[in-house]
Amino acid sequence: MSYSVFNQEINDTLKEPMFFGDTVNVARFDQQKFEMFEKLTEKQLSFFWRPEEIDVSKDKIDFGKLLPNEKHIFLSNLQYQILLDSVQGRSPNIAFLPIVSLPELENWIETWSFSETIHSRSYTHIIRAIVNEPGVVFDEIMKTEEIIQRATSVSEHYDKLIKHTQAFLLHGEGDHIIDGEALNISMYSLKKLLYLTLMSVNILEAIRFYVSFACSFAFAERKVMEGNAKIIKLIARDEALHLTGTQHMLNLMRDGKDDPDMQAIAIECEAEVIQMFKDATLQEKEWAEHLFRDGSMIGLNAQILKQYLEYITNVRMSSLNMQPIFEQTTNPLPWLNHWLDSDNVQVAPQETEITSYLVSAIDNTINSEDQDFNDFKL
Amino acid sequence: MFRIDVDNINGKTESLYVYGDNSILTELEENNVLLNYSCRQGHCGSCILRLVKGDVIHQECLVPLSQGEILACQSKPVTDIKITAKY
Repeated sequence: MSYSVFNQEINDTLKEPMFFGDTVNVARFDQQKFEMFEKLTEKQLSFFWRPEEIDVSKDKIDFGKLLPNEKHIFLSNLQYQILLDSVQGRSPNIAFLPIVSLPELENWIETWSFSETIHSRSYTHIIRAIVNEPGVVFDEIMKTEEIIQRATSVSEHYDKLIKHTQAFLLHGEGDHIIDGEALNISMYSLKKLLYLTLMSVNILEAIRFYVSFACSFAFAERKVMEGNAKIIKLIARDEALHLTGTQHMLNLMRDGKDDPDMQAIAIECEAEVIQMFKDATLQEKEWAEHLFRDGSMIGLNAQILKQYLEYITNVRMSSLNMQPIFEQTTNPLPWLNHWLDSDNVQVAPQETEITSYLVSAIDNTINSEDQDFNDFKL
Repeated sequence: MFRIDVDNINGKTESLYVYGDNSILTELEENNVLLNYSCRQGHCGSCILRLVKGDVIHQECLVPLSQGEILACQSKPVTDIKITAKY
């Protein structure tokens, strides 16, 4: 089967599985097999924001006053976030769109991945504001071994699924030699790769991101880098939606409410999935050591971050109806929830940044023909 | 202040006294009553509880709720309440 952007077979999308059924033809949202994805899309659209709405000018002054080890923590954490959103800004589209079979899910995947590109744009906005040469920070990403290691672990499942799906779409099921590599492609093996990829995305968005949020908000708890924290709060709000999306897909699969093969795969892969969670926590613990290699900061150190990592891993596994793998504890960073909870504090507009008042409010473009500043002299 | 009677949530049965400023989820966490949660934004339904008695103010959520069900992350007490696990 080769992929068609408009499959002309008449099908009933209410009877299709989420993935690997007929490809989507009419983008229709009048009916949904799984209403949740439509709700997620609507919610994500209602969340639309732009980084330029947040004033980060004070962050430059704050950044200048940070200790060298704190600058390393802040920039390395931001670089890691850039890596994660670079992956997420493209991968759901490339990996999942060619195999999705429900219009509401297709639309959610596109909306989800688009919102990740806003996050990527935010990091540029922040870095432009706080350092004189933003290019150096970006160039460093690909030269930092610890980040490249992270890149491998967050992208390997995506890459494998994409490679096998492309082989399947071009050559169908069977044994194929692609670039000298022997691939055995079967529908069952593709579904298994999909399940593991969704799990790795859930680990990325529900665990790896949250550890990085803890670092971002730790600065703002000290009343520094607050512009950055306001942006990360918006990103965290989006990520809470995204992780709900992958959790929902995985739970539908495991509960047998979607494709019966997927239920069998969920049982078959349980040990492998537990190992994925263990590997991810181990990698994140190594990352915590790298972040705090030059010293800790007030309110956060490698040890507490690792405790939070174990705590949040347990929380995420419970949400997927899996047994937690670490000792059950209370949240070692309880203040973090004030940043992650939905806004439930009423404040006057002058007390905070009401983003809806600011959409497209400022035009930064200046043309030589503009007369407004003719009399202006330094 | 409002009283939250916790009836066998994760093995805990006790009464909490709260001002009603925070979500029920936050209040439970601050009193070491562990409850499943995930998004904290009313999307996922992990923190669903049964409201046995009393009233809460409930923010919008994506999860379809049956009569008597609340999301701990999206609700705050407005009277004395009694809550229990969903099942």
